[in-house]
Amino acid sequence: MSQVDISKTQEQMTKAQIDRRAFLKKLALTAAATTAATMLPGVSFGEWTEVDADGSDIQWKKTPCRFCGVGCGLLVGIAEGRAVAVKGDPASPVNRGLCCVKGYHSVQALYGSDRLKKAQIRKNGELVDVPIAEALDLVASKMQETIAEHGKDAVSIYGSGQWTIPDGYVASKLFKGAIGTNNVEANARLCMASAVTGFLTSFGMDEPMGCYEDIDHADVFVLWGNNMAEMHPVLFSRVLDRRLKHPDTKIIDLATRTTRTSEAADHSFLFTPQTDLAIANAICYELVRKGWIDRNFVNRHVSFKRGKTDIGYGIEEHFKFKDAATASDWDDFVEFLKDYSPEKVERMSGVAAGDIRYMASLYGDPSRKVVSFWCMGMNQHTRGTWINNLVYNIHLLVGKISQPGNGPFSLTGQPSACGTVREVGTLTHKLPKGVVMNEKHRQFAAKIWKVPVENISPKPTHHTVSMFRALDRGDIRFMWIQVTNPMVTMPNLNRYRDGAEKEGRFVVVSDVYPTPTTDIADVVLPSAMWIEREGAYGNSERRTQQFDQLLDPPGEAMSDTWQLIEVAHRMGYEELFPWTYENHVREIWAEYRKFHAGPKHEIAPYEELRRRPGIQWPYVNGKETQWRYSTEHDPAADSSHGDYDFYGKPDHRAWIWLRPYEAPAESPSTAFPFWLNTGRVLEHWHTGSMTRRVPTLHRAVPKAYAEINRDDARQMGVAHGDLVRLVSARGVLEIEASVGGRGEPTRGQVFVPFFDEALLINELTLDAFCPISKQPDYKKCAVRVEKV
Amino acid sequence: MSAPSRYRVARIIGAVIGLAAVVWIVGETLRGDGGRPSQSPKEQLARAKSGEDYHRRVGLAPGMQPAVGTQVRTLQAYYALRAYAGAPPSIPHEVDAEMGRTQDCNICHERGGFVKRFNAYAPVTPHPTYENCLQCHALPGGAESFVANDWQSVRLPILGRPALPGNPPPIPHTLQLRTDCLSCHAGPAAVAEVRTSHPERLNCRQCHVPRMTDDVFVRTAQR
Repeated sequence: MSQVDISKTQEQMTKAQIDRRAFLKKLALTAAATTAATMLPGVSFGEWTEVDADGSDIQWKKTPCRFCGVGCGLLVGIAEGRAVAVKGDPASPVNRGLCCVKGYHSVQALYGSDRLKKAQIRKNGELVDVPIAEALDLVASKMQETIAEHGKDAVSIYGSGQWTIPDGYVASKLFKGAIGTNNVEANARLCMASAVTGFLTSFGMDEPMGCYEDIDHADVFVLWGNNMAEMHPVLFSRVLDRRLKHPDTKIIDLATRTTRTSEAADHSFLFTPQTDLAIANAICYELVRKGWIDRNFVNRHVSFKRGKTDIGYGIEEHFKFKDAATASDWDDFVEFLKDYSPEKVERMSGVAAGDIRYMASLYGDPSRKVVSFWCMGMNQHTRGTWINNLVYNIHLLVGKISQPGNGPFSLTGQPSACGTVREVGTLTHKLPKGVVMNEKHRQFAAKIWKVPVENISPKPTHHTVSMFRALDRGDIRFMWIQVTNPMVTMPNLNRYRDGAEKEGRFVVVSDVYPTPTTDIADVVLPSAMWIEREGAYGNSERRTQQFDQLLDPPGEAMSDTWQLIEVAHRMGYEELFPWTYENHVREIWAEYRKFHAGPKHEIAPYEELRRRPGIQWPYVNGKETQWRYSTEHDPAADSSHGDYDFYGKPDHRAWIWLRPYEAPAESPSTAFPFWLNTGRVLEHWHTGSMTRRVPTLHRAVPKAYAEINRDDARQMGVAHGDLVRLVSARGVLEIEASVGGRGEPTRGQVFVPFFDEALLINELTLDAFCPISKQPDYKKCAVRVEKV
Repeated sequence: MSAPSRYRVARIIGAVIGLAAVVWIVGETLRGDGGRPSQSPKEQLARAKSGEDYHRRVGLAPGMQPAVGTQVRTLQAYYALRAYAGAPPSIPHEVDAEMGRTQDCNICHERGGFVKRFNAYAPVTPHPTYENCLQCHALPGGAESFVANDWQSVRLPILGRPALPGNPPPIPHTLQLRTDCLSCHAGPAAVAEVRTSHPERLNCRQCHVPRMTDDVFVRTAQR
C-alpha cells in the first residue's frame, strides 16, 4: 500500500469513527429524552429554545402578514417580549383564519442571527459600525452637498410596496414637497405599474372595482398567466373551496408553464409567450360573432378608443413615449377584431381554436359569473398596459364587472403596493392625490403639506429603469434605497450594479439584513421590521390594515419613517415634520386622510383601523365599498348614469381599447433559441432576504434552479440536477437544471426563480419595458442553454 | 481503530439498549394493566417487542403493522416537524415532482391507512377540504440553514392536567383547523401520547373543553 493510500484509509477510518460517535451521541440523547418523557408524564420538549412562558401566557395581536399583496390577517403570539407563534386571524375577511407557509413562519424572519442592529458607514472600502446618529448626520449632509453641487434632481429615493403607508407618505412629502424633486420611485414600478396604467386608461381610476368576496359568488375563474396556487395561495384555497362547495365551478389556467395551478385547474391552456394579446382579442372576436354581447351595458357604459401602435420597448437611452387616445366606435372595433379569428390565433398562440371558443363561451354565458385573475404574467410585459386593457374589454363586452362574482381582478405582489405606492403615490409622476403635471393637484398637495406650491416640480423625472440609468450616467448622484433589494431585482443587472458602484455615487440602504444591495452601500441604516414599529399596509382589494408596534426593534434599528423624519430634521425641515415618536403615525394618518377625503377614496380613521382587521376604501359613513362603480354598492356612483357610473372618466364610461398584438422586445433566435421566464416560488418572497432566514422555508427551497421541459432536456442530454449554462446577450449563469419539477415550461422555454442572491438570473434579463407603464418584462427574453 | 475503543463503543451501545429496555419496562409496569396477571420482566419485554400491548390499545388485529414502520409515532417526532406548538408541520417524507405538482396528498391523508411506499400509517389530516396542501406544509429538504436563526417559542402544553383525578383533561391547543379530534387522537398513526382510549365516543367536546385561560372567574358586573 502506498503512502497516499494509507493516509486515505486512515482518513476514511477517522471519518467512520466520527460518524459512529455522532450516531452514538444521537442515540444517547434520544434515550435521555425518552427517559425524561417517561419519568415526567405529560411533559414533552419542542425543537426550539424555550422562553419562560407557556401557551396561556401568549398575547395574540392582530397584524397584516409581512409578505404578499393578498394581505392575510395574522394573529401574532407575543410572550416575554418576543413573537413566539402565528395563527390566521379568523376575523379577517381576507383569509378567514388560514395562512400559507410563509405567513405561519413569518415571525421567524425577525430573528435571523445576522439582523442589522447598528448603522454602518463605508470607510476605506469597508462597512464599519457607527452610532446611528452619526450615519443620519452623514446622510443629511451628503444630500445637502449633492443638491448644492448638482441640483435637487441629483438626489433620489427608491422604496417599494413593502413601505408602510407612513413610510411612503413621509418619503413623498420630504422629496416632492420639501426638497422639490420628483425623483421618488419604488420597486412597485417593476411589479404592478402596468396594472395601474391599465386601470387608468380603461377606468380613469386605479385599483380593482371588486373584492375577494367575488370568489364566493363566481362560477368561472380564468387565471391569466397566474400561478395562483404558489403566488396567492390563500386566495387560491378560497377558489378551490368555492369549487368544492359548487362542483360546477370551472377553473381555467391560461399559462406558458405547467404548474400546481394547472394541475388543480379544470383546463390548462398553454400559449406562446406574448400571444395573450391575441388570445384576448380572439375571445372578443368570438363574443361578437356569437352575439354574446350585453348590448345595453355597452351602449350605456362603454366608449371605444384607439391608441398609438408600434410603440417601442424602451431599450434606448432617454426613451420617451406618450400615448394618445383617439375616438373609435363599435364598427371600428368589430373591423379591428377581424385579424383575430380563433383559427388565426391558434397558429400564433398554440391554443386550439376550440379552446379559445370554449373560453369565450364561459365569458359569454349570461348564467355564469366570471372572475379573471392575473398578476405578474400580464404586468411584467412590454405590452402590459395593453393586455390589462384587453382583459377589461372582455368583461365590459359581456357586462360582467362590478357585481358580486363578476369582475376582472388584478392581484398585487407586495403587502402595500396598493396602500403605499399606488395610494400615497410614491412614483415620479404621482402625488397622494393626482399627478404632479396637474396644477390643481399640486396646489392641493402644497396646501396640505404646508409648502409653497412652487416647491412641487410639475415635471416627472425618472421611472425606475430610467432612474438607475441616470445613476449610471451620473445625472443622479445620491440614492436612498429603503425596504427593497434592487441589486437582485433590476433587469440587466450588471449594468445597474456597475453604475451604482461608480465613483461619485452615494448610495444609502435601509434594510433589516445584509443583502447584495447593502453590499454596494456607502451607508447602511438598520431598520425596524414590520411589527417592531407601528404602521399600516393596503392590500389588493383596497383594504387598509393597521398594526401596532408589538416588539422592540433590535439594537439601534429604527423604522424607515423615523429615519426619514430624522434626516428631514437635520436638513432644516422640522416644521414640516413636527411630530413626536409617540404620536407620529397617528398624526401622519390624520394629515394623509385629507388627501382622500370624499366618497371616491375616503379612508377610515385611525382608531377605527386599530380596532378592526382591515377596512376597505371608499369608507363612507362607516360603510365599506365592496363593488365600485355600481350604483347599488358605491355611494360615489351617480344613478343618473344608470346601474353603473364609471366616474373615473370624464364621459362616465369605461373605455374599450383597440390594442393589437405586437411582438415582444426580444424573441428566441438561432444564437439564443430559448425563452427565459423568471418568477417566484411559494416558499420565498421577493428576493428571499427574509424568507431564506426562516429554516423551514430555506430547507424546502435552498437554491434557485432552471426548469427545463423534459423533451428539451432529453434532446440536450440534460438530467434533473445537471449543471447547465444559461447565456443571454447580457449575462451568463451556471445553474442546476430542474426537469419534471414543480413547474414545467413549454418546449423552448426555461424558467428560473429570482430569489437567490447567489444565482442572479437578472444578470441575464432584458431591461425592455412597457412604454406606457415603464414596467420591465421579466417574463420574456432570449437565452441559450448549454450543458456544462 | 484500536481494540479498547471498539470495546468501549460496544459497552455504550449495550448500556443504551439496556437503559431503554429498563425505561420501557418500568413505564409499562407503572401504566398498570387492570386485571391482567402480572408478568416477569422477560415476558413483558417480549410482549412489548411483539407490539401486542400496542395492538390491544389501538384496537388493531394482532400481527398488523404498527404505525410508522415498526415504531409508534411519538410526541417527540410530532414536534420535531413544527416551528412552534400549532405551526403546520413540514413533510417528513420524500415528495416527488408528481406529488408536488398534483398535491394529491389526500389519497393517503384523508382517511389514513398503511402506505407501503413509506412503510407507515399515514397520519390523517384534520382539514381534508383544504386542497392546496403545500401552501402550508413545507417540503422536506436539507438540514442546513441559510443563516442561523435565534428563534424561541413557548413551552409545550402539558398533557393531561384534569381538574380532579379521573376527570377528562381539557384541550390544551387551539381548535382552528383542528376541529376533527379523531383525525389526530385515534387510529394507528395517532401520536402515542395523545391517543384516546375511547375513540367510539364521538362527541369529544361533551367532556373535553378548551382551556382558554388559567385565570379564575372574577365577578366584574354587579347589578
